[in-house]
Amino acid sequence: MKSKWIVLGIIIILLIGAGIFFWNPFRSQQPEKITIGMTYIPNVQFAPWYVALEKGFFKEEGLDVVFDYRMDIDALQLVAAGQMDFAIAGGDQVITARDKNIPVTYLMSLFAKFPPSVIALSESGIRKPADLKGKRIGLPLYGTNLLAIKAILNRAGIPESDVELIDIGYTQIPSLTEKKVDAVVGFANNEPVKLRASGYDVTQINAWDSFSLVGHGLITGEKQLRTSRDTIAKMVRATIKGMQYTLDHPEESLAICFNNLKELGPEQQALEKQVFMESLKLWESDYTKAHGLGTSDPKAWEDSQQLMLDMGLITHRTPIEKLVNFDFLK
Amino acid sequence: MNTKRNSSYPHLHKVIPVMAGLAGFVAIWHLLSNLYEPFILPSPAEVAERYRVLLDNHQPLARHFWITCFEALAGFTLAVITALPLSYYMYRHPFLDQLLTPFVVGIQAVPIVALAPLLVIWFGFGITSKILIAALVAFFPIVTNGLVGLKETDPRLRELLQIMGASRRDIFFKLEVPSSLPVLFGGLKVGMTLSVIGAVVGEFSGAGKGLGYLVNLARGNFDTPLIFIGLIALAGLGLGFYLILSLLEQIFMPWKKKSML
Amino acid sequence: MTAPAIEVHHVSLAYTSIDTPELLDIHLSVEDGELVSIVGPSGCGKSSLLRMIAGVLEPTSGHIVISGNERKRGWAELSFVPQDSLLLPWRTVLDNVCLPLELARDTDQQTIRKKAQEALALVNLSGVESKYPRQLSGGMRQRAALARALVGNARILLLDEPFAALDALTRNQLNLELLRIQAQTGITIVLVTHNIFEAVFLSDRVIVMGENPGRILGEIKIPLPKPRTLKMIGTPEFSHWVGTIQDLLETGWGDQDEH
Repeated sequence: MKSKWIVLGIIIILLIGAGIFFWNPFRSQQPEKITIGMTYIPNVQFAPWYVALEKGFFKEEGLDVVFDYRMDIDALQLVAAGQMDFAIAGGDQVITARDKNIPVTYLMSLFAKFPPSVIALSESGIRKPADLKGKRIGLPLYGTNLLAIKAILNRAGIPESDVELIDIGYTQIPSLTEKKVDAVVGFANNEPVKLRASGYDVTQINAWDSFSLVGHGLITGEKQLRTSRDTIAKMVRATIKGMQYTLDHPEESLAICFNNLKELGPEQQALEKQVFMESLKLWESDYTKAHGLGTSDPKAWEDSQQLMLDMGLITHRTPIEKLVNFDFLK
Repeated sequence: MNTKRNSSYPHLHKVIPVMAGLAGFVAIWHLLSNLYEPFILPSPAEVAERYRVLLDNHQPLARHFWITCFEALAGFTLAVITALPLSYYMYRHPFLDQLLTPFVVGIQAVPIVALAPLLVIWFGFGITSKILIAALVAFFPIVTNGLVGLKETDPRLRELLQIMGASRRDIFFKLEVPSSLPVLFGGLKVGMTLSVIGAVVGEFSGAGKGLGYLVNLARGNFDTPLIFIGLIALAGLGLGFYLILSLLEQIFMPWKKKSML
Repeated sequence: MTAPAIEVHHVSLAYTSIDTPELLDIHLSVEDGELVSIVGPSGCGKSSLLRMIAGVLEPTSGHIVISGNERKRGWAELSFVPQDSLLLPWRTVLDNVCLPLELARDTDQQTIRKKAQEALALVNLSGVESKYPRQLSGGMRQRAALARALVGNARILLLDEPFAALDALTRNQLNLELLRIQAQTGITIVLVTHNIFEAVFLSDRVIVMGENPGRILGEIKIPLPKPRTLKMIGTPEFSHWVGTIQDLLETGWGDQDEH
């Protein structure tokens, strides 16, 4: 008998709660909640977004932005499934994903230059691609890093059989310093900075000299392109504003980054400052100088896709309008 | 008595429910996959197709499977060889128990995902590091369970055997060992499963072959069906080991009531 | 004149504190071939006394002599039947009974198995050799424990409330078994029990203990003739002895010495 009333009471409470939630008169005035899948741990490379948040660029556009720091691939697929609004991914990742019929599209670039780099200790004498012949190169044997070394070798006319590619996961720095391999494939704004800070003299063969594609940038899914064009425009605008501000006020922007990275001690902050400065160099290329921050060359996309097709990394071509959408950068 | 009934169809008895369960699982999987994009949840057919492509391209799954299998097995064996004597010494010397237990508990809590890259750097990218990682994770449940099993020896039985004139060796072989087997086997089963995980995590940090490497590769290429193939193979590996251990259990503990494997 | 089978010389046991000993000044002896019961309330230390005789517990003072020798642990002269049968669950019934001989190591496997089978026959438990303890009833397990105790050359059998966990019918059966074994083998038996009827039925002599501290209140000879039958239990004479023991338990000190 008594339990009947308890159940009724619970139902009533739930109904009231639902009512408050759904028919909240103030709801429409609240900013849109947006999630960006950052695909990496919080770090200084995300400066434009930290700045946009701090400086109110998001607020101006009426966006309430949440950073989701889960790792890597999952974010891209969640965006494709419509469960996440945006993510940060590389141009090559978009091409690979589209090859698997995963519907994501590139909106704007953060790294205008393709960031991977072949790094070696100076004493090894490796200065140009030809020096890699007969050497052991360590890298995670898939994705962006693999593409980079293949492109470099391809451009230099060196058959893959002339080098030894070894899977080392993400242990580039210790693998190099412990001399387990002769060279590693890392990112230009990351490992070289850290190695030099530790006192090692290193040389770099940068992938952007062999491969014209853009690096990491903002992506979204086909579904979002159909239903939320407004939101996308706002996000791109705010991000570009954030990028520009960072380029114009690097010191202040760095301080804003550190506010978001409270676990960094003074030593690490000095290191991250270097990473930050190196990263900024990658945000601009000749093309962006001519056409604006965040833009990318359709020809670079086509050429890169062709190269990936030739190297057997993808199985078919995806039309460029599916790969990248330039509408929001006008 | 019972002999006649068990002659012709004993195993059919057990096999049918398992096959039915498997079929049911695949059916549910197929239904669920209709609700999701193929890159989130591929259907059983898509995964099978991907496997066919794998075979066509001469990229046999078998190679990766056996490598991970070997790493896990070798690691597990190493763990057993080191853990069992240690658990016995800790049992016989409470001082040692007090000294080491905090370390055993503490190290166990450190996620292997964090330690694995270090071990790979120290011991190289070959299978040695994977075996060591597998051994490291399998070690702890075996030590713990070995110790608990020994501690659970019925003191009344020990006393009784002493009255019968048993020596220390007798007590060990005729009482402590058989008495601790059930709990120990529990630990061995956990350790075996963990050794597979250890091998896989080790492969994440640099391998070039193995099921863990395969899954990682598939992730990097957004190849969800291949991820599934890798995961299914890993599940099969874990299950295979579990069945082997269950079989060993029945051999070593014939007095136990036979439950479902 | 042979030495008594068991001599307990002024034994005290105080393992928690000297001021409140568990057992105080226990002095008794058991002759060869006698069946003596030790009766007392729970916690009076009778089990501890038995364990001291068995050699697995050290008295705090006093000493114990077995067959004229200072008692030591693992003496093949002594065997023990605990309350819970305590058969090794991982051994078959036969292998359990073989255990004492295995530990003694002085015969080959074949002879051991033969002797074990004989012991099982002695307790009327042939036919379950290859079963595991968990497959047996309580009564059968106790029989097996009894067989295990008898398989060797033990001249003294110690039993610690061996039939307490069994139902009355089985208990009566096993009591008869025990008497038969005594008659057949002439073995000395010391039995700890809290069941006065059982004590009177089985014993040649009953030692009554009190508690706080554990001490002997008195000894009562049971002159009922052997072999005894269950029919004796209802007789007035039987009841007389039960009553005597009961009184002794209740009133504390009292020397009931009827020779």
